[in-house]
Amino acid sequence: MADDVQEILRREMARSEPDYVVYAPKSIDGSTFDTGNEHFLVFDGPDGSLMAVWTQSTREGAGDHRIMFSRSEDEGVSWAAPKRLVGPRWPGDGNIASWGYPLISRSGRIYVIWNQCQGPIDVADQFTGTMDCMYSDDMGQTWSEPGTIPMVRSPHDHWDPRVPSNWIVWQKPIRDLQGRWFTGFTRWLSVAVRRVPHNRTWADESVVEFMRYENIDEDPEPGEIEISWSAWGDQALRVPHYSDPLISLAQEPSLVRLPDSRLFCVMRTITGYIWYSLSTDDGRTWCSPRPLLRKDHGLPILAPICCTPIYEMSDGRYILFHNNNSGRVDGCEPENTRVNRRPSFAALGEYRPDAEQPVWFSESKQFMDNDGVRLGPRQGIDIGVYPSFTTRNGNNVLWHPERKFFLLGKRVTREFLSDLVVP
Amino acid sequence: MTDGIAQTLRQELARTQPDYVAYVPKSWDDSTDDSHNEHFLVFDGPDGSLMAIWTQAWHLPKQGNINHIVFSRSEDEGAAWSKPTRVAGPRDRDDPTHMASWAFPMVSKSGRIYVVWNQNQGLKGWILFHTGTMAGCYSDDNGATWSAPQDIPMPHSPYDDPEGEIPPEWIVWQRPIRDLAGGYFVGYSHWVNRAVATLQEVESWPQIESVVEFMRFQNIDDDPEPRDLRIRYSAWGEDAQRVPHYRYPLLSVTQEPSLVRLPDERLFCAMRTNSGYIWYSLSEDDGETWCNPRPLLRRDHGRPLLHPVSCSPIYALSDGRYVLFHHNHRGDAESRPEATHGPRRPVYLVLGEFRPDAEQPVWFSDSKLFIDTGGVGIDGTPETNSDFSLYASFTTRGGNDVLWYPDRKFFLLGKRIRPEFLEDMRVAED
Repeated sequence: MADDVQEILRREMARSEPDYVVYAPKSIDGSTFDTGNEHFLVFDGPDGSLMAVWTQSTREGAGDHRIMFSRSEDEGVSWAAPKRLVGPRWPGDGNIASWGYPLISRSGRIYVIWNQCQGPIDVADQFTGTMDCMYSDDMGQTWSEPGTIPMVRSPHDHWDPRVPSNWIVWQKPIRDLQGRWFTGFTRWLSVAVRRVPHNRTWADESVVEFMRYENIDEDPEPGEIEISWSAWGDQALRVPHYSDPLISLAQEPSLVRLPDSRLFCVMRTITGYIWYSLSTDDGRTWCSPRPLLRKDHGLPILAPICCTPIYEMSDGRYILFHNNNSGRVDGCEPENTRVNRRPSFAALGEYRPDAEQPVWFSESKQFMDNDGVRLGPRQGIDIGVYPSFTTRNGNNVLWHPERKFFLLGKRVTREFLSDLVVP
Repeated sequence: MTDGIAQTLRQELARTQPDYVAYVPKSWDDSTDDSHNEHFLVFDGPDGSLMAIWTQAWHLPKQGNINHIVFSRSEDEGAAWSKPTRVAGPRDRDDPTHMASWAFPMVSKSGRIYVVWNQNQGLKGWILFHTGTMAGCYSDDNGATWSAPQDIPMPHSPYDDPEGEIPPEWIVWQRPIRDLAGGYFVGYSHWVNRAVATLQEVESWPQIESVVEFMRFQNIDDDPEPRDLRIRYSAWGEDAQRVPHYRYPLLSVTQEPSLVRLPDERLFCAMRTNSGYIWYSLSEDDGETWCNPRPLLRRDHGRPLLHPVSCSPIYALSDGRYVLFHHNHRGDAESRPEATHGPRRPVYLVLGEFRPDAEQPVWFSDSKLFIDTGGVGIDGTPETNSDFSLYASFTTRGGNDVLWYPDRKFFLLGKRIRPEFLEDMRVAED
């Protein structure tokens, strides 16, 4: 690597002032096919290590999405060389594998599940795929052959059963009240059934649904994994599109458990602000989505169509990350995600048991930024996107793919939170 | 009026196929000072008659509509109406009295008829005829004579002029309903003074910030003087109902609340917004507190009810079901300056039924065309206003469900909601 490239990488990696560095690509120009890194899910390994799965590529959409795995035995200070689990090494090296996420069984088996492109493309190759899976019984050293988990056909799917569903799980599943793994997902409506917005972009019709893995703790083979679905079909969570309200655009659900056992789910939309839903029965049924406000009857929490994850911190309070703009930055249209996905702001959330909206939020405070400097083949400026969160030993860390390029970690310190006041 | 004009008016009067005609202006060119009629509130008179209060206007160059309040009554269930009489506001163009707008009636147990309105004081906030104090008068003889107007105190709101010089901008647009304690309760649009508004410069009026609040007239049945009316406000100030504007989400545009009582005694309030669809709120304590507004859907998890920034009243039918009127499109979101307040036609009707176990307690059928102007103004051409602005009211006397509406803000008409019209409308089951 040339010195100037190293210098650029060092400089750019430091922009968001990370506390941890998990992965730095080996090039800037994509020549090493590792310059796209995202959907960065760090989780507690069954052996006490920190583990991570993510989606790597030359750049998102380059045709070489692959699922990667790494682990750290020193609380994230250093990370093992990543291992490719599945997917092409470079464009043209086979069907892409995207958006992997982990589940761990009680025995310590690590499952990784992803969206496997099988050839037919409905909405996009990185959305249209079967649910494929592999597992490791030795802490990620070796992995089983991939298998396919059956998915039930949805009324939102293409009428042709040969065309797989369009779906993305983007956050780590959480345990439900009976110990099963539960997560929300974005379901993109098939081109065969969707309604088309006036402003044709990638921001097409989508809804939020949920899936529950019923038998992971029995260590089933991938083909025997059972899933039950909720908010499914005509019960899916829909949020009206700003220009054509009959179109739903609801994506990237993020879940936290409330002290009263309810589930609280926030989701991104194209309304310019975040929406949420609540479940009082552990995710089987959900209320119709509502605007997420700072407090009851307060102002909505702005966000472009970009990730808005919420996490529970080690002290039981919540932190919500968002870009704190309506998507119309400097007059741009809300679909223009090349402009509006920075900086990353954090809002502190606290449980309000007697309120209609059970989590209220502080004003937002800038958490990190990349100054809008474009980097890598994708030339993105996204920050705070597709992250994950760990709270080991009271150390709250946001693990994030900075500009979908570097994989970094940044602590949410007590000092950062100290001036955030929740109404 | 020439024969040609009379013929055109007859033709336009019939366009929406009304069952009742309450008022036909004497001219269409404003020459008789009566060609603008709206906020048409028909109500049960204490003597068993039908009564009506509305806002009538003439137009003054550079000033716009100059409003006054008129009253009429019908002794034959709406077939014929008395000649309107002026209740408040200027008598004619030469009268320097400030305009009076958006009146609404309340009838006490003794039979006293109160009329309360927005009394302009010659000062203008965003819009002249939104800006005014609250005034009222009453009649103890079924509208034959009226007391002198009196000012009714209003509290200073955080949404009003911080200097206290410009009166508030507020509109009550529907008849108040009885609350569970016997008072009268109604929602209103409260426009946010420019000095404290999220947007201090706007492209057009649908970007003017507004919230929905409620007022409760607590002592009407004591027959107080208007100045002594006791009013308690709810969803007031920072608890007001806000709905994000479709482009500027920190800006609230929420207006024209419409209330119905549910069988479980909750209050259900639909309101117009600038999101492209109707929103609603619920109160479990007779209007003291309200949930945050939510999109109004056909059913839980269903599609929203599309609507521009235009009236979307909901009423209880005589059989206990509900009807809601809307335009069934999201409005013009593309034009600049913003024109999301239209087109205000056609008018569609949706049937609503109570769903006690649902999150949204009223579910709705698909929409069915109820009335339209065909894009034609009252002069028979597409060049003049062809919109409905459904500042309407509803009566259910003797099981006869009637929508009383200003057609193109010109004619005042009534149209029955017949069982035959509703019979093919289906509401999703719980």
